[in-house]
Amino acid sequence: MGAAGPSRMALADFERRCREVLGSAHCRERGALDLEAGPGVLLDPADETQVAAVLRLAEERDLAVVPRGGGTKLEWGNAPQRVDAVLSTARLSQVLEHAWSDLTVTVEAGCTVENLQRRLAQHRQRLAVDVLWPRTATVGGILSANDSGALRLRYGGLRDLVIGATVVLADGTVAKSGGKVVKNVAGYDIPKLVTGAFGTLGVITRATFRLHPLPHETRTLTIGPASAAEIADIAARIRASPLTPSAVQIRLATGAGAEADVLLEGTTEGVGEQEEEISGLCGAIRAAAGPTHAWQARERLWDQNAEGAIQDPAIVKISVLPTDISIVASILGKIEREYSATWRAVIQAHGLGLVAVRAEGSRIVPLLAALRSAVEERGGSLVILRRPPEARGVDAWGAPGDALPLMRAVKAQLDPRGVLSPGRFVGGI
Amino acid sequence: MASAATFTKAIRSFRSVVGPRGILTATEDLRAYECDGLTNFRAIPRAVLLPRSTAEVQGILRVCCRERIPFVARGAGTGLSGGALPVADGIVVSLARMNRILEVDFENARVVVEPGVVNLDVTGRVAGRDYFYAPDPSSQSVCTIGGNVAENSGGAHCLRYGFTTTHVLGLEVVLPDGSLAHLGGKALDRPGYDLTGVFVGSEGTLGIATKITLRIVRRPPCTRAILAAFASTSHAGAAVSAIIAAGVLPAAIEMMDRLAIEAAEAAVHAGYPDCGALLLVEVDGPEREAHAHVARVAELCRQQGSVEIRVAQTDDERALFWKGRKAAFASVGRISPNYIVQDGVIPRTSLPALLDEIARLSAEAGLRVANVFHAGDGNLHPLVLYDARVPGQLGAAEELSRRILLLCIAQGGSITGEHGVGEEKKEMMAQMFAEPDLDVMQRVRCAFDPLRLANPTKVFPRPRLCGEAPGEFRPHPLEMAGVAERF
Amino acid sequence: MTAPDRPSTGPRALIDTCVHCGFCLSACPTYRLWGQEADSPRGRIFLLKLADDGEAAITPRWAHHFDTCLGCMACMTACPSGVDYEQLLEFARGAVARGVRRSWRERVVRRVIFSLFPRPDRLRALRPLLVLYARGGIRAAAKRMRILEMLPGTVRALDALLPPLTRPVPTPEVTPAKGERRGRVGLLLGCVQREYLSEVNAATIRVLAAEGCEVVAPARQPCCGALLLHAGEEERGRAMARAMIDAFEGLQVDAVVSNAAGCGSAVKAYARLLEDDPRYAERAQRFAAACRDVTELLVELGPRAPRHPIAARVAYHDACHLQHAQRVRDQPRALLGGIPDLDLVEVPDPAICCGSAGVYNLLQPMAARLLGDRKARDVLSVRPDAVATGNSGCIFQLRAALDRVRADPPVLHSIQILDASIRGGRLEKRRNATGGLPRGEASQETSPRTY
Repeated sequence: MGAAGPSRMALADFERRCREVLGSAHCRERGALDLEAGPGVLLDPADETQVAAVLRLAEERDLAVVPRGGGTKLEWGNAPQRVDAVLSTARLSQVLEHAWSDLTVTVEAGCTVENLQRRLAQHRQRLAVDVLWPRTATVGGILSANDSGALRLRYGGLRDLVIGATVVLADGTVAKSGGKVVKNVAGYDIPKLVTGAFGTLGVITRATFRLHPLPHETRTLTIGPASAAEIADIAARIRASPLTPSAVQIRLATGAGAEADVLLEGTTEGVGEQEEEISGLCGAIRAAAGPTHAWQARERLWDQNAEGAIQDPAIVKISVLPTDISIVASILGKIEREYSATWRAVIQAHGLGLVAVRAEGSRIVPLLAALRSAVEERGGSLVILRRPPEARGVDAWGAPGDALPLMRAVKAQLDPRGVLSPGRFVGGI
Repeated sequence: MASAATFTKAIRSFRSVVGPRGILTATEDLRAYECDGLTNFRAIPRAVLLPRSTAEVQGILRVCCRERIPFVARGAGTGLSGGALPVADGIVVSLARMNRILEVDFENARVVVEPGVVNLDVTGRVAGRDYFYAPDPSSQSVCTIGGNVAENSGGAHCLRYGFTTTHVLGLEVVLPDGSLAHLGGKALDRPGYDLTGVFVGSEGTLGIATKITLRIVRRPPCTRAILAAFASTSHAGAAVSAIIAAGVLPAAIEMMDRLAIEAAEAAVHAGYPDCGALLLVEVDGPEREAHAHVARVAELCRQQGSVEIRVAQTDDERALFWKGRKAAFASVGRISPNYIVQDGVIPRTSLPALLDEIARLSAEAGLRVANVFHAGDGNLHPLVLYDARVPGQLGAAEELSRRILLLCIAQGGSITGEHGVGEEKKEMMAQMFAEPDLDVMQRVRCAFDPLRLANPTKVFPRPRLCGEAPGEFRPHPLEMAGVAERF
Repeated sequence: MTAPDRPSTGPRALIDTCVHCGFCLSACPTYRLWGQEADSPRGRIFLLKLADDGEAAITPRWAHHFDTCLGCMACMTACPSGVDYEQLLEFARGAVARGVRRSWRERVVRRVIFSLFPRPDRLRALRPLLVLYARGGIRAAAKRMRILEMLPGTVRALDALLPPLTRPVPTPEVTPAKGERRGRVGLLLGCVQREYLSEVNAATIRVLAAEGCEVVAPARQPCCGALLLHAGEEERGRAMARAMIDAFEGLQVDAVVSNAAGCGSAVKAYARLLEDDPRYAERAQRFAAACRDVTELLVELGPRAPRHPIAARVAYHDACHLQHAQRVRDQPRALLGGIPDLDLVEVPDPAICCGSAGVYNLLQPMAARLLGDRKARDVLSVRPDAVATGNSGCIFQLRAALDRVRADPPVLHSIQILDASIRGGRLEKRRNATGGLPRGEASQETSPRTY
C-alpha cells in the first residue's frame, strides 16, 4: 500500500461498486465524521454478506478502511495512515439470541451496549462490564478497543466474557470462532485475538458473550479522603482479603485528597457482611455510603463541562501492577511539579487506570514521555486515548516488546494488503 | 527431510544442546513416549529431549528448524485427546525437568512457573497464605501447567473461577524457529494483540511456553457442599437450571447418573444414596452468603423433586462427597473391562434432551453409557462401556462415542470442553467449523509456525501449508507423504 | 490392593488393568528425580507390556528401569484403577534375574549383599571387622587419604550408612507380660536390625510387655525373605518364608508382630507367596493373617500403660512399606500423639521414599543419596527436635542424610519414643552415641560414638 494512495478513479470505481452492493442510501460521502475530513466514503452495510462484499472490493483496490461502531473511540491509538472508507456497523444492531437459561447472548456488533443491557435485563441478566458511553458505544467497538471498567475486578475483562465471534477479513472471508457455550476448547481462541485489536485484523460482525445474573443488591462505599498512600494501602488490604467486591476504584487529582469507591453486589446478607468487614479494614479513615455516580468517574474525565474538569487534556490508559498504584500516585505528583501540570486519575484496584493530564503548550510531550517511561520501567504500559493538538505526533502505544514480529506476522496473514486501519496499531501495524 | 543421515547429524546437535543425559534414543526409553493418556493412537518418536532451561529449548528448536524436524511438546502425558502423540520422524520435547516455581508474588496475586510444574504444586506453594490456583482438572496431582496451557484445561470449579486462559497473564514462548517472544506480562492489557489468549488452548501447535505467569486466587472464607439425590437425570438437570436461573452461581455443579454412582460406590464407598442421578453442588464465598446460598440450593432441589438432600457439615464430609466424583472415571474400570471417555459440551438447558438421546443411542448400540458431568457448564463426559474381547464392540463403542459428539454439535455445543482436539477429534473440527473458520485459524498458525513443525498433525483435519518459506526449497514431510498440498 | 475381577492368567491380566492415566507419576520418586517416562510406574508397566507382546527384549536397558525402581509402592496408593504393581514388579525382577547378564562388578556386589544381609549369623560375624574398621583407625585413614571416593558407590554408601557399633542388646526368647496378660505375641527380629539396631527390638519388647503382652522371640527365626524376593530370587525367598513359618510353629501366639516396615509387609504377603505350595498354603494363610505391625497391634489393644510427658517436637516420617504397602498411617500417629506434651508434626511430601527401600541405597547409591538429601531437607523444614519412623532402613538412611548436612535431630524408631514415654525417660535433642535417648536408658551399656 503506497502512501500516495489510490487514484481518484480507483476511489470512484469503488464507490460505484459499493452503491451497487449496498444501495445508494448506504454509501455516502465521508464528511468529517469523527476523523479528519477527507475523500472517501461512509459505508453502512446491512449484514455480514454486505460487509464481506465491500471489504473484498476495498482489498482488490488496495484501499484503507476504518471500521466504526458508535465512533466513540476513533481517536484512540494512532491516526491511520490513510482513510479511504469508513465502514459503519450501525445497521448490524440486532440482539440475535438471548439464551437466558444458558446465560449467553449472541448480538450483532453494531448494537449499542445500552440496548443490549436493556434487553438482557428483561431476564434479570447483564453483560458484566461497565464501559464508557454505553448509550453510543457498540459491542464491536468495546471489543475492538478492549474497554473495561471497574467491574473487571470481579468479572474479568471482555476477553473473559466473550465466548464466540464472527469476524470478516479484508479478503471477504467470514469466519466464526468460539461458539455458544462457555466451555469450549475447540480450535484457537480467535475471539481473544480480535479483542483489543482495534479492528486491524478483521471487522467483528457478531459476538457471543457469557452473562451474569443481575445482583439482588448493590451498595457503594466511598472511603476517604486521605493520602494516596493510605488509600492505596486500604485497596491492597481489600484485595488481599477473602472479600469479593465487584469493584474497587481509586480517584486521585491534583491538589485533592485521594478517595476510593467500593462496589458490593450480592445477596443482602453477603453485602452487609462485606460492608462491615471493609469498614473495619479502613480503620480511622472514613467509609460511608457513596454516590452511584462514582462509577461514572472514568467518563467524567472526558467531560469538559463537568465541575473541575481539565480542559483539552491528554487522556491515557495506564496499566501497572496493583502494588504500584501508590507509586503511580507519587509519579504523578512529581510530574505535576516538574511540568506544572494538572491531572486527575481513576485507577482500578487491578492496576488499570485512566489519567487525564494537562500541561502548557508542548510541555505535554515530554510529560507523556516521562510518565510512559516511569510506568514501563515498572513493567507496565501507557496508551494514549486522547491527545491535545500539541501531542499529535506522539506514538500512542509505547514500547512494543519482542512479540512485535509475531504480531506483524499475524497481521500479514489476516490482512496482507493492510486494508484495515493501516498504521493505527502497535508498531505501526 | 529426516533422512537417516539428517537425523544422526541432528542427534549430535541435540546432544550438544542438552548434554548426553538430556536426550533419549534407546528404543526402550522411546517406546514409553509413544502415546499419552489416550492409548488408541501410538507413534514412536526418533528421540526424546528433556531440556532444563529456556536456552536449551531454544537450542533444540533451532536444530529442528534447521533440519526441518517436527516436534511435539509433552508435559506429564496425561492428556486424553492424543495431543502429546509423537509425530513419526519427529521428536518429543519433554518439559518434565523444567519444574521450578520461579516467583511468587502474593501482593499482586501472581506466580511465575516453568511448564513442568505440577498443577497441584502451584496451589501447594501458595496454600499457606490462603491462596490457590483455581483451574483444577481431575489429573491435577500429575498434570503440568504447560499441558494446562496447551489444552486450556478446566476442572470442576471452572464454573465459577474460569479456565486456564482466565488465569494466564503472560507467557515466555519459544517459537518454532527458536526465537523467544514474551506475550502478555504481569500487568494487564499489554498493548498489542492478545497473543497470550491465542496461545492458550493452541495444543502445542504454536510453540513451546517456557515461563508462565499465573494468577492465583484468594481462598473463599467459606465453602459448603450439598449432595442431592434425584429419581432421574431429567429431574437433576431441571434442578441445575433452576439454581442458575435463581441467580446463584455455585463454585461447581457436578452430576452423576446411576451407572456412574454404582461404579464410584464400588471403588471408594463414599456412601452415595441409591438413586437415578446425583447432584454435587459446591458453594463458596463470604460466610453468611454461602450459608444463604446453601439454603437456597437445597430449597430449589427440593422443589425439583429431590428425594434426599445432604449438606456437608465438615471439611471431611465435603471431601467424602467429592471422593466418589473424582474417582468416577477410574472406578468405571471396575464395572466394565474397557471404556471410552468422551468429552462434549452442550448448552446447559439441552442436557435433559441430550441424555434421553444418549440413552436411546446406547440402547440401540447395545452398550451401556455411564454419565458424569460438569452440569453447571454443560460439559459432559459420557463413559461408553464395552468389552474389547467381544468382536466388534470396540468399533461399536467408538461409533456411539462419535454419534454423541455429533449430537453435541447439533445442539450448538462443542466437540470438546476440556480434553482438547488433539489427534482424536481433528476430523470432527470439520463438523463443528466451516472451511473459512478453519482457514482463519490456520492462517494464524502460519504466523507462528510457517514451517509447520510444532505438533503439525494435530487439531486441524487437513494441513494447510504456509506458502513460500525463505531459503532453499525443501519439501515438507507432509507434502512428501502426499498428505498436504502447498497453497 | 484388590485387582479387578478378571481371571489371573499371569502378568498380562495385571498389565491390562493399567489404563495409562499417569496418576502414578507424581508419586514415583524416580520420576520426580529424572522426569523420564520409563522411570515411572506407568512407563515400567508399559515396558512389561512390550515384553509380553514380544515387542521388546529383556535387555540391560530394559532391566535398568526396574533396577532403579525402589519398590516403594507409592504408585499403588496413587493408582485409581487398583493396579497390583507389587506383583508386576516381582514378575519384572524375576524376568531380569533370568534374562539379563550383569557386569561382573554388579554380580559381585549383589552376591555379597544377598549372601550377607539375609543372614543374621553372618552379620554377627561381621561385627568385629566393622568395629576394627570404624574404630581401629582404618576408616579415619581412608577418609584422610580420600580412598573412599575412588571406590564404587556401593562401598561409599555402606560407609555412610554404618551404624553406631554399640554392643548389641540381648533379646530373651520369652518376655513375660507386665500386669494382667492381654495376649501372647511373636516378634520378628529382623536381620540388620537384630544385629545393629537391637535397641529397637529391646524397646519393642518392653513396650509390648508393658501393654500386657507376653512376647516370644524365637532366636532360630531366619530372615523374612523380603530382600531376596525384591531381588527376583523367588525360590530362595520362598524357602525363607517356609523357615519363618516353621520358626513360629507351635508357639501359639495370637499375633506375629513386626517393627520393621519392610519385613512386616513381606510376611503379610506370605499367603500369596506360598499359595501354590500344598504343604504350606494353609499355614501361610494363617500366619499372614496373624501378622501386624507393632503400631497396629498396640492401637488394636488400646493403650493401658500410662504415658509420661515428652516435651519435644517430633516429625513423623512414613516408611514406604508402612504407608503404601501395609497402609498403616494412622496408628503410629495415634500412638505418638497420645504422648503428653509431644508435638507431632507432618513432613512435607510424605509419600516420597527416603531412598532406603531395602538395599536400594546400596545398589543405586546415587539415586538413593539424592532422595535421602531431599527427605532430609523436607524433614528439617519443619524444625523437629527428633524424627520418628517405623523402619530400620529409613533410620540408617535418614541418619546418613542428616549427617551430611550436620543436622542435629536424632532419628529414632517410633517405638523407642513410646518406650521412653512409658518408662519416664527423656529425649535427647542432640545426637549422641545412643541416637537420641539418654545414656543408660536405651541399652545396658553404651560406648561413645567415635565417628
